[in-house]
Amino acid sequence: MRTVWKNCITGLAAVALLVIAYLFAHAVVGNELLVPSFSDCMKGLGGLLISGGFWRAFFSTFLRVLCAFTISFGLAVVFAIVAYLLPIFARFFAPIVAVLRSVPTLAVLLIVLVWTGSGVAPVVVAFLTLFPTLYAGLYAALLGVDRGLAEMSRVYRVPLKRRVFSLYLPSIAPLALREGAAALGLALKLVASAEVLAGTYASLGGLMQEAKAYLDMPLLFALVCVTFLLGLALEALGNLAALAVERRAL
Amino acid sequence: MSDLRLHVSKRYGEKTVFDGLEMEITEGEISCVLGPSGVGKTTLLNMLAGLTEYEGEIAGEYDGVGYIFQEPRLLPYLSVEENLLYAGAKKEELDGVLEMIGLAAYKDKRPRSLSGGEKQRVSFARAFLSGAELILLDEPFSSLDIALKMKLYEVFASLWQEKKRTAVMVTHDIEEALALADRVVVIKGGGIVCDLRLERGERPTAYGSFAKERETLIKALTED
Repeated sequence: MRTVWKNCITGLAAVALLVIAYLFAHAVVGNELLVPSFSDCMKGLGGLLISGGFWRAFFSTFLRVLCAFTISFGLAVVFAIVAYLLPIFARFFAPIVAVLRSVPTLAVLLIVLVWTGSGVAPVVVAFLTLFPTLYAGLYAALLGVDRGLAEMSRVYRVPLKRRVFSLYLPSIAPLALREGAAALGLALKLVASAEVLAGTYASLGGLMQEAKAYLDMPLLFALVCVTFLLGLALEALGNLAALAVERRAL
Repeated sequence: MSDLRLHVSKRYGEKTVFDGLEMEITEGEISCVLGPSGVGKTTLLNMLAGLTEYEGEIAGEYDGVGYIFQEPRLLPYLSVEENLLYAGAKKEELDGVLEMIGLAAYKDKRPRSLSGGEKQRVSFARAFLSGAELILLDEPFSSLDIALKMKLYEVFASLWQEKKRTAVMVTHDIEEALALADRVVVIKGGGIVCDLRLERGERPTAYGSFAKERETLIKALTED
């Protein structure tokens, strides 16, 4: 319980520091157009939260994030298992993953935009970044499963289902959940950035683009704030799940 | 389960571990393979367990292997009971065996709350409760102090007495071999240099017995 309080206080202190930094920047720049006042931003945020258009955009972006994450995580799980079972596939797949990791995703967005539309392109771009990261993390987690325990399970001819649920899943779950939590936060950043570039209609990125076009800086800051908070919440949820699994495991 | 006849060769790259090693394992006995480190003792067990490929053949039949490793290899997030069930133990046999090895009170505990010796006792129980016909022991007493060793000899002997399985134990410790085995085979240089049958009464044998046999084994191990 004391740790929870400590974490809350540390978190609040960090938020307070950010607010102070913002107030400082506002005072130094002294230009309402470039850095609007904190109260204007809060008003912008309040206005957003009661607008129907915002919530439509919010859920449309959230859906894209979930879509990109689910496809990336699902495929990463399948490919990591195949790579774990067939080392030759892992060797074959390693350079492909390396290429995917070094692809400048936002540049690829322009190509994907031509092929698909502004609604799908952010999902593809997020997938291109998330998939190799998740695959590498899950594959490493599988390689980290205690070899001695795997060998013991083989000797005792433990049925596959029991091995999966009693050995492999508990071994990789904490790491997989932490990877997943980080990937969810990253997915939101990628999707929102891609939406800004693609000018996706009725999305958080689209609203940001619109706010920038009309130089509505309080609204722009409010949208960034919402995206930041959503990313934080997604990561926190994943980390809480990982913590729960770790506690159960120990 | 029948008697087993091994005729096997094993190489790791350029290094030959066994070149046509021939050995017999008699059903219902505890055979002990004695030898210095690096002679291929664990490799021999791994061949019997199906964990290592080899050339040649192992003639005979056995249904299932119970392997007692040097370290207990228990799943950390399962209780003692769950660990035993994981490896194929029958629930109705659990209580009796846990009582016999003095771990009845630890049934619901996880391995982290057990001492090293208690964990190893669980791994002994796992091997015997798994229903395996062949029990393999890879120096399971090597990292234990003498008092714990004696206690575990008794645990193993009582489990073996109860379940009557064929067992193959590898060790570099002559005392371990003399305490438990019916037969001791010394391996050196890829082949058998001594094959000794012990005329034993109760098991484990008291420390210091088998003076003549001990001498023979020391000679086999130390002579070039």
